[in-house]
Amino acid sequence: MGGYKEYKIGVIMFLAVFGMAVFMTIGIGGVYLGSVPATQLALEKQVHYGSSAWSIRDPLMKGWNQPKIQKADGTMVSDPVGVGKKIFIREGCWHCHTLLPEQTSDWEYFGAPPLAGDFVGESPTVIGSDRKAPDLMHVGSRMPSMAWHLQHHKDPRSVQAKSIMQSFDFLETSELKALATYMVSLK
Amino acid sequence: MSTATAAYDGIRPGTAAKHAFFSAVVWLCIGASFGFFTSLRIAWPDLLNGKEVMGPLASAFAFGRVRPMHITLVIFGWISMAFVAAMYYMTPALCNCRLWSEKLGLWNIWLWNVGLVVAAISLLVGANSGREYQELIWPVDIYVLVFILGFAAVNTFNTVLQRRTQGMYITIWFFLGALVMIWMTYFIGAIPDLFPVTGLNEAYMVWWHAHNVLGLWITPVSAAIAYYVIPKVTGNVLYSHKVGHLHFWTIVAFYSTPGAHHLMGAPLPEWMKSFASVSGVMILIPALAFITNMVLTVQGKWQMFSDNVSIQFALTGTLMAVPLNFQGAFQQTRAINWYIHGTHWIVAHAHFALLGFSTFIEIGATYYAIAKLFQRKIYSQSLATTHYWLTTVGFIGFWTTLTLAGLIQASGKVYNTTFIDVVYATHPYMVGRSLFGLTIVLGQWIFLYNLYKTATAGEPVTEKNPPATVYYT
Repeated sequence: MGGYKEYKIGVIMFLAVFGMAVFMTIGIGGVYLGSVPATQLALEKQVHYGSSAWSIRDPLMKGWNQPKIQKADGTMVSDPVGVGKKIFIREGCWHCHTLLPEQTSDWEYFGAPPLAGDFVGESPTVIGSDRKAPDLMHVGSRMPSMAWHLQHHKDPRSVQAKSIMQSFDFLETSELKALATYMVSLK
Repeated sequence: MSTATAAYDGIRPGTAAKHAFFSAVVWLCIGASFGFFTSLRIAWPDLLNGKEVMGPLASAFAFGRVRPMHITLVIFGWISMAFVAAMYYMTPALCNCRLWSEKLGLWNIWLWNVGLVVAAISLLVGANSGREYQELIWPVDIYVLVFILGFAAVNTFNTVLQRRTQGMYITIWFFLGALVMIWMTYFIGAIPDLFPVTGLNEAYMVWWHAHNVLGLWITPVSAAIAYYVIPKVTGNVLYSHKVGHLHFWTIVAFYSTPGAHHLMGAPLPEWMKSFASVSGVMILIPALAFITNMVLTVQGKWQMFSDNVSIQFALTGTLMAVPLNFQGAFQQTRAINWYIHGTHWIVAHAHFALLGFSTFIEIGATYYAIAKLFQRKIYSQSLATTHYWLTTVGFIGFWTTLTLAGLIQASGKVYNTTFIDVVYATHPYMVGRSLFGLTIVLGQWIFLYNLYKTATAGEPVTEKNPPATVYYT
């Protein structure tokens, strides 16, 4: 007794069934999704965001490895949009705010749902699944004021008395600015 | 017993299982407590919040950082570790042999505990992969694949390899199958962390992982544990091994493919959504096979539902699978999904699966295995009953308040109600959820205390005090 010889057929069947499931979903699905062409929006996001994923070069997710832009005085600084997105990920904003108007009546309230190609090159996409708070995909169009976002993040109930968002007064001023810049960039 | 065990790598058989069960229950208490803490944030956002109150800890204990920690600790701390504890206890018992290596088992559990501490700290300092249910950063992912899932699989597979029984019981089929599937699932979930996979492909892989942690790990292994505990404790033979195999094969075939049903609102191609949705409904086949099998196994022993704590928990969990699977199968079809997606309804459903179904079965197994491993009777039956009712009432209230809140959110979404008004309307339900959550958390700390007292001060099982009476009071 012992060994797996008597289960040869069972083992082969198991690997075949599970392998087929992975092939059909991840394999065919992955090739399909990987071949979607990038839209103009996706290319713009790639320029500003760079890689927003956790990296060994930026272990505390401060935005140290974000793409650089040139300021008016000629100095190079991290793109605040990319830094803002990194803070959005680090602080887990996406656990309440989705970045995905659904393909239903969301059209009317939160604006048009994205196209498949809008996400090409973005990682992580943080589209979220649990909408305890408004969708933010087009927040920059709804609320274009930097000052409002700055105040809202510092003290949410000063601008919206019924808000259940927690206050982010512990963020550094530069981080608050980057986050607000990211919000305004979401047109 | 002691002479036979002393020679075997110097560690008494069952040691790894004891460490695993106790570690798992400690993580259950910690993980559930953090869940309660995050729920307070939603009910009263200014409580324990902001720089003035929390000082330097304000960032670490912000909602967005504690929430993924709650999920990591209950899924990978409690549920998964309780699974491996059950594997270390049940595999040798079903194979009529010893665990392949108690030493490897102990290394597995303690490296697991260290890994969870590292994972918790990394989430609290904000090192977050940004991928839902896969929030751990890639160095931790590799650690999980090697030292947590890898070690557990090596030990369990080798134990089955040296079995002294003919044939393999259905529980073993599930254990082995699920160990392969969770390793693959976790690896595929970590691919976007390790390789440059972007865009919808990344989102899809992340949700494929999130679905299959439930579908190919938590659902089958919970059932596997019930397949052991319910026949063993009732003393009845399993109603049908064939129906058990129908359950095993249909879960592998049908429940490995519906990952895309979590992205019904996303711009995925139609064929992926349809395929996921249809295979998602097919969960009803394995689920009903399992429930039927269990309920028919208990025939003639239903009085144990009220007088045996293991059966009480395991059967409650099994019966919860009826509404759970019907809810799950239908809410992921497009006809319903567009309405309730993204609302508290889904949070209620997730707790139905992880708490109402899975956790109840594991608690039943833990009571049984701890009494067996320590050869002692459960310290206090009344504390165990208190634990049962706190968890049951807490969970049902928790589920009901969240589901009602979800329906409010859904109708608000459909009628284009101003968003903040919906937030305001759900506030009383959020307060209710916190109170029921506190009930559940209290129950789990009582559970831990009861198990600790069982191990240290439980009435020993001797010849005059035989184990047959262990489970009766």
